[in-house]
Amino acid sequence: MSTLQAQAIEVRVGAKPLIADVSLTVEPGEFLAVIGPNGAGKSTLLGALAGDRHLAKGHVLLDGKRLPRWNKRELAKRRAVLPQHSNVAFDFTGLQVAMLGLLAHRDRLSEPQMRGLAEKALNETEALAFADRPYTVLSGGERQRVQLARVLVQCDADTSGTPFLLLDEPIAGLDLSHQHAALASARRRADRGLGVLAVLHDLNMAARYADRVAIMEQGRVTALGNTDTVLEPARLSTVFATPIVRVEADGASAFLSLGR
Amino acid sequence: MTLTLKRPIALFALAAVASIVGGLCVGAFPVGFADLLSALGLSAKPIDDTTSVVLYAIRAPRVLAAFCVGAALAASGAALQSLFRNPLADPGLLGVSSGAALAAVSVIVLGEKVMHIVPPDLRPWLLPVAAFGGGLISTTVVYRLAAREGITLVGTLLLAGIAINALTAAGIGMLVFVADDQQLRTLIFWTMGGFGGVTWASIIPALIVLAIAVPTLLPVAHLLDALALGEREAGHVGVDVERLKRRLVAQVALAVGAGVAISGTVGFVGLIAPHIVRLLLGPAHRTLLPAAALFGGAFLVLADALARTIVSPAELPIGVLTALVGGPFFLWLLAGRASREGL
Repeated sequence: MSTLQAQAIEVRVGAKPLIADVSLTVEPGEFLAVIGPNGAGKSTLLGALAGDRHLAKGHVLLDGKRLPRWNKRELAKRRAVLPQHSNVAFDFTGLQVAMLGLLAHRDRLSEPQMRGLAEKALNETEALAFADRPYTVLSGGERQRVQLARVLVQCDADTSGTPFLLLDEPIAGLDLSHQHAALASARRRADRGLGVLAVLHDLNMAARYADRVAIMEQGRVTALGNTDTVLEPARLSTVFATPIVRVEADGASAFLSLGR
Repeated sequence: MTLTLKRPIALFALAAVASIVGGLCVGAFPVGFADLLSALGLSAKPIDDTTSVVLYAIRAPRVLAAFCVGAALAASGAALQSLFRNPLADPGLLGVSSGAALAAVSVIVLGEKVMHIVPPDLRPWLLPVAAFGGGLISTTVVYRLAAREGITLVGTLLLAGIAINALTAAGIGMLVFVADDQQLRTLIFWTMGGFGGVTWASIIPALIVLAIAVPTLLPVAHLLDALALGEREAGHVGVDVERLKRRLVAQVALAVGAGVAISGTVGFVGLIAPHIVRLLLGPAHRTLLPAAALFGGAFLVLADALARTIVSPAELPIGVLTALVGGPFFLWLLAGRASREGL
């Protein structure tokens, strides 16, 4: 069974550990949300799972094989990563940026096939209108949607194994409607059998789209489990150091923070 | 897609051919177009011996060298700009050329002392190899200084270039001090750039290096595109970034080193050619690399033709001409960037 697994990992900057003793497995077919206060190590964990970070201790395994042993191209076929901020140098168009997600698949796909896949992904993130525009002139939210399309096309192109999708704050900078659209895209991938891990700040979005939630505090995972059990107002109030209540209305519930 | 890609390339190729024809015909001894056709075997009209010597022995190697050096500098500029994710990266500004020049000049001035231990067959290679080594060292130093975790600090990049240019200038100054008169002439020619001393024998080793180092950039064109996303992101889409970086630094050092071995330092071609091609055809390296190479080649052939005609029978150093065009161009680029993003 294909999994992406962190085993007791520690990442340091100098002598200071950013995350320590973190163990976590992303299963195929699930949407795992990582939440926690600023500086808790969420992005560091995502970077470690992506293979970007040097591990002081522990291992990250994909299909039982440590990440540094993977060939970069083979790894790119098995997992896609959406970073927090992305600048693109030079005036590449939205379509060209999205097509870069298919770099590892170039040997298998023709130019028109790649273009078709990229356009489909841009359409899904409602960014097709930016296909011929230079990325550098797009707004922050528009850029984010182009980048999301690049990542979606990368994991959609693979047919051989279960790809994993790692999203670092995928909805930061998006308007509400596009926030839902982005997470629904990720949700659909999970329903199709992909493993999704997303760093989120919005508790309601996590509650709505995730199967499981991990809470990180000061470099450690302090809670990990089903969304309903982990997202519990008393716990959240402590974690975020601000009173949080659950309000019920029209058969739906939402978290509300009441200020410090 | 292929149609829209091929047509502009064909235009650039046409411009390159036109510049080469012009470069062969123009000069202190003008050669008619009809004579050129006969020399190429395309016309039955016989040509006299002088024309034949001028064309085959003098102008052909010179024009070929100018074209190849221009193409190498332009392609190297494009590769460096991708590596640094910055359109201001140019082999001359970054000190790659001057590092190569210092090594080349060292061979000219001090090489006689080691020449006797080098087998005669390998002697023509000493200069290009030294220039390559110098270029490799300076490129590596600049890269180590200016690129941290995939982010290139533009200020550091340009400052590192200034520092290396100053250091090599000091080194060359020292060599000027110890050089004899004959060496001094060669040395000054080298630092200002020029194709005046070009003969077939002197350029063959460097041309072989260029023929290997420049076209082999094309297979990594898509990887260079991916670098625009950032190094980390390029890794995510499947680029072995560390390997690509080592390869680019080596290839640029080879290409610039070989170019310097032929013509000394010629600045700004690597800045101007990729920039203009990007404006016309976009940033995708599969078109940018060959188009910039053709443009850079044509540019230097024309600059060389100009350099040997405007003050005929004397010659202007070609580096002076390219700097006359390139300096203002660089300032214009810098001003645009400064107003847009505060550099």
